[in-house]
Amino acid sequence: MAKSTSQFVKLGVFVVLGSLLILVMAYMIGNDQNIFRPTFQITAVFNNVNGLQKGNNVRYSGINVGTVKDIVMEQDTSIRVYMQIQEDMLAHIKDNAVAIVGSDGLVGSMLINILPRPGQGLPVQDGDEIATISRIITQDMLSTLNVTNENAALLTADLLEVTRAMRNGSGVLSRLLYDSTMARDLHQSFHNLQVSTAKSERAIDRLNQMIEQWRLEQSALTLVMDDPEFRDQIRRVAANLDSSGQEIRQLTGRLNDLAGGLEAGEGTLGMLLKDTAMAAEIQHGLKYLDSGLVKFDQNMEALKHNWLTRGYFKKLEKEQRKAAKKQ
Amino acid sequence: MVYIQSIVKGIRDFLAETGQLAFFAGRFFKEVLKPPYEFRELLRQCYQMGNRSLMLVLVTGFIIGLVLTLQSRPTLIEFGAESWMPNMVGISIVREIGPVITALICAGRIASGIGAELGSMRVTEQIDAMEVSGTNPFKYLVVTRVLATTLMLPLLVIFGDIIALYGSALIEFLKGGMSFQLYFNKVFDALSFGDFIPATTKSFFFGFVIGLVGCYKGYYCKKGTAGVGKAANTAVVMASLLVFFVDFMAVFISDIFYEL
Repeated sequence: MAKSTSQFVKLGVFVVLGSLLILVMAYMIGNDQNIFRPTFQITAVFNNVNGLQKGNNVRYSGINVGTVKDIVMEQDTSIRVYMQIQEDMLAHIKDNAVAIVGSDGLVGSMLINILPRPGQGLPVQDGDEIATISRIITQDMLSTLNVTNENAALLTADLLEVTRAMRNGSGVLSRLLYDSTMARDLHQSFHNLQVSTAKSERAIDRLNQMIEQWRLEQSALTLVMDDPEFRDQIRRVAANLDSSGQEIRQLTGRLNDLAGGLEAGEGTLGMLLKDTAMAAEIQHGLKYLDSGLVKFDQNMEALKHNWLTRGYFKKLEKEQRKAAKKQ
Repeated sequence: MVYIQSIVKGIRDFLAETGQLAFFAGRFFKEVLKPPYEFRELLRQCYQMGNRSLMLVLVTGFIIGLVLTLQSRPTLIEFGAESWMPNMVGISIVREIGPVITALICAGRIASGIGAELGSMRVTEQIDAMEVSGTNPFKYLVVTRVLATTLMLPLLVIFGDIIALYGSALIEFLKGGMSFQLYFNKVFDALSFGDFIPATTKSFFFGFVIGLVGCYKGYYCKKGTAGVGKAANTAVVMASLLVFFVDFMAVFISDIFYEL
């Protein structure tokens, strides 16, 4: 009897413990699904819920605050999701919060993220509807990826063409890679470049030395400039130079005007220089003058032999001889 | 021709066995409701089948949890999904591995025990003596044992589940540095009533089948003492097969009521 009583006690412990474990497990699972705590309900309307199911988690700023209670198709493009949220979150979730369908990691189950938005909002009430944001669905991502893939394929084809052409020896790049002569030339060019660089370095060194020397001279000049008498002389020279310059400038201006006038054919000299018709007339006149003078000489010669005027010319010759004797 | 005859005979025997088992089950349901109720014997059987099997279930469950986690870790690490270990192990154990492994252990221990015990009682004509003395042997021997296995198996399953999860958490703690709190948080986060209720419900059926088959094989044991061994052996085989069959049916039905 004592043995059976002991057995019953042990059995009682076993049964109680087992039942407690079942209850605890049920409570833990139920608690996670907000079955044993006060809740309120809010809704959100989505175009696409991306495989969201009843019982999926609802998170507010990353904290599990509830579960999806129901998903109802309202119209062909709108799906209403009923969310059961813990009552202690009532004060925190504002009516300007937005809901977005997300997933728990890359391969995790779907969930709803409620995100707070800046600005003042009132706490949500039981039965309120909050705004939603459409999620970039996998299909869109795949479409974009498909375009990228197509572009990559085109690029690869082009690259293949380029590499083939290079293999065949056409183009500059191919010559660079495969032409040994060009390689030698390039090598030589690089060598020349190195030599030039070395020379340039030496030239720069010399230039630096010159600059340094000039700096020294400049410093010497500074010392000279400190002498007030020399400075006054320099100033006077500079003033003279300035006035001379002004005169030269004026003279140059006048010369420019004159040259401009001559260029434009103004005045006699300008006409003489520029007017070709006048030049031709003058040339023609000179020819006449030349022939006129020849005839005048002949006439004068004839006058010398004429008996009327011969006496005059003889008298003139005598005077000239007397004058020559006196001298 | 002989081959076909043997096949036909096999089918006929199978159907006869199924019919007898169904009749046996029907008799159980008939007797279980009728007074007098053998509470004391029921409690004794519960102790024998529950408490006495607990250590075996705990050790097996703990090892199953350890092994499952150790075997899954490399693959999950390869996929960068190590943090999903509690979710995977939790769902696997609570939904399937815990109940089935516990049921198979009980099929091996309890069904064979009942088969051998009742078989030896049948062979030594103790059952006949009970009938002669006016005691209903079916009610006293069968109903109490079937009820005991039906009631005890869910408790054993829950103990097995918890200890298997603890074993898995221990490995995660030692190898991955995951705290026990985080591990069990993740397990209960992954579990839903859709996992827990069907698994617990089917445990009752596993217990019922184990008890029923053990009692059936022992109650109808024949051919002397050699039959006792055969009864124990066939009880284990048949109970194990029926556990898998019931498991399939349970998954099939729970799929209708719960979204898996």
